[in-house]
Amino acid sequence: MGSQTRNGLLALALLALPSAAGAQEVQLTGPLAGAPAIKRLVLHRAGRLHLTVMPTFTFGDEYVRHLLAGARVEYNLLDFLAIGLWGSYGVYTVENGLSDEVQNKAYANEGSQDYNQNLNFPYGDNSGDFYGRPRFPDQLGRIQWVGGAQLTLAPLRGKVGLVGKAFVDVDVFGFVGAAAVGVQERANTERPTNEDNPASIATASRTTFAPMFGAGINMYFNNFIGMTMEYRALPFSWNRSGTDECCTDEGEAFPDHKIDDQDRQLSFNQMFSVGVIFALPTTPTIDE
Amino acid sequence: MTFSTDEAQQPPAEGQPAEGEPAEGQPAEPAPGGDVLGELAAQQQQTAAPEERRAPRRALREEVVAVQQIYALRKGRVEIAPSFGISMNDPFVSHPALALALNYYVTEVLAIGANILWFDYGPAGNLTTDTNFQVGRSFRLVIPITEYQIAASLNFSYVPLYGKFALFREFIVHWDAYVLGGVGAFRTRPVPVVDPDNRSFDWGLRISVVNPGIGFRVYSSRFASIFIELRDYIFLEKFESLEINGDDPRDPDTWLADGSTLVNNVMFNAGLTIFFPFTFDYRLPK
Repeated sequence: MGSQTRNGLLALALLALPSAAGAQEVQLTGPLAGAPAIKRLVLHRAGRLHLTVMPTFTFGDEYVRHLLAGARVEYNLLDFLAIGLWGSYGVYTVENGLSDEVQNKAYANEGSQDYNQNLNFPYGDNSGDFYGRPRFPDQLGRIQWVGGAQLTLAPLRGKVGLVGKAFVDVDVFGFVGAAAVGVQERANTERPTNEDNPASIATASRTTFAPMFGAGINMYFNNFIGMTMEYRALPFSWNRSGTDECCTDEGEAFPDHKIDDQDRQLSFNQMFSVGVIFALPTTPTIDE
Repeated sequence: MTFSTDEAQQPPAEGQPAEGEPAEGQPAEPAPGGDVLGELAAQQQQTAAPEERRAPRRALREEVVAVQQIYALRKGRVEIAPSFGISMNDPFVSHPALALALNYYVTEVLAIGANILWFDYGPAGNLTTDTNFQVGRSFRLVIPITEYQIAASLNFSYVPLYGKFALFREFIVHWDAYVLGGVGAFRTRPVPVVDPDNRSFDWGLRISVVNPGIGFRVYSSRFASIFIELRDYIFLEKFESLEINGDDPRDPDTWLADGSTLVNNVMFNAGLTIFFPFTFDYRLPK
């Protein structure tokens, strides 16, 4: 089981755990008997629209790290229930160390025609006769944009004291939804039969759909401005490395010498966002 | 002084004091005959009858808010925390661990203790990932990897945050957050991938320092909670040498790479916390 799959299952298990372990015993006698747990609670969510500007970065990527710029719009039906839309556009990608290692040290057989027929790495070491050829990062899969709808549940509401001086209202939320994802991958191609021409690394864009889930925390600095931090995962299959990974099922032969949809592999595509919340109307209601 | 039934049935005229009572705003006359209680009462009436009362500067609160005691005290209690951990930042080998932590709270916010992580507990420990396999298969590259056997650390914990959450505005949930650090050691060894036919490695000890971490506890009772923790174990690791000695590949002195590599093993743990003793007494100021 891959590390990303394991991490994703762990995230799912944690989200499935009750976010609160139990209830405070209510005093049956005394001045607090029959009293509600909270009075005059500031309802930062109920009946308000939350506009959140939030940059997002991916983590746990094997080859490419993404930075996306996006926003979230949520209407809070109740103080603990909201529906919303989230969208993000990839503005920057950076290859990580593994990508550099593959580019600098991968299979290159000088003097042989094998590299041209190497579907996975048709570059050589990019020196001498291979100078100016495309590089390994050119065939890597990248997330171009994401857009989705989500249902948010915010069961926990409280306060946090920052070094005992500043106190902010907070709530903890989880969400589930679905998203459309625009990805760029290596286009379908086959191992060349002509030994003089390397395999194509042209890329193609497509749209895929994925479930979306996550959790986060909102902190409210005043009546209409706050901050959010959230974890988000979008599991879907795509060919991140641009390599021939098919086929390993029973009865199939590996490799199949072509790049196509059968080379896509499941990834949890984890992301972390930090954003600024603007709430409308600017004045929240106060519970009785 | 004479009374008549007519006088007894008639109340005093409005604005006029009742017979024997001082007029409004007027201090009471001292009682005759040296009556101490009467004198005291007269003095109190003097001081309590200012000519005008000042209007309150702000509206008085109608209710008194009761301050709730901390739900679970920690001072003087021992914490036992079994958990399951998983490495977060190793793309080539997954290191799931069974962990156990033991802490003693010297004060309400400061604890000393130790924790142990067991990695080599069977087939599920130290698993190579799909990325490690596919990089080798697709690009004919070998990635030097290591496996962990066991790790232990002495720790200091500090609890800077304590608070309460309301669950659906009906139930109160108590929580706290802590930071920790310490020193420890990892027992690791390289996995021979460059020259597995000739090389084999013994377990070695790597000292881990600082080991910063942060955790979050939610209390289910006054002695139990569930927690999550993220911690970075920092140590210098020895990897397999990428070069093979053509003259004598079985020379153990050539199997390890020159120098060491700084490794940050980020572990995410989730588990239970049990405090002993189960109960505690509040000592209120006299």
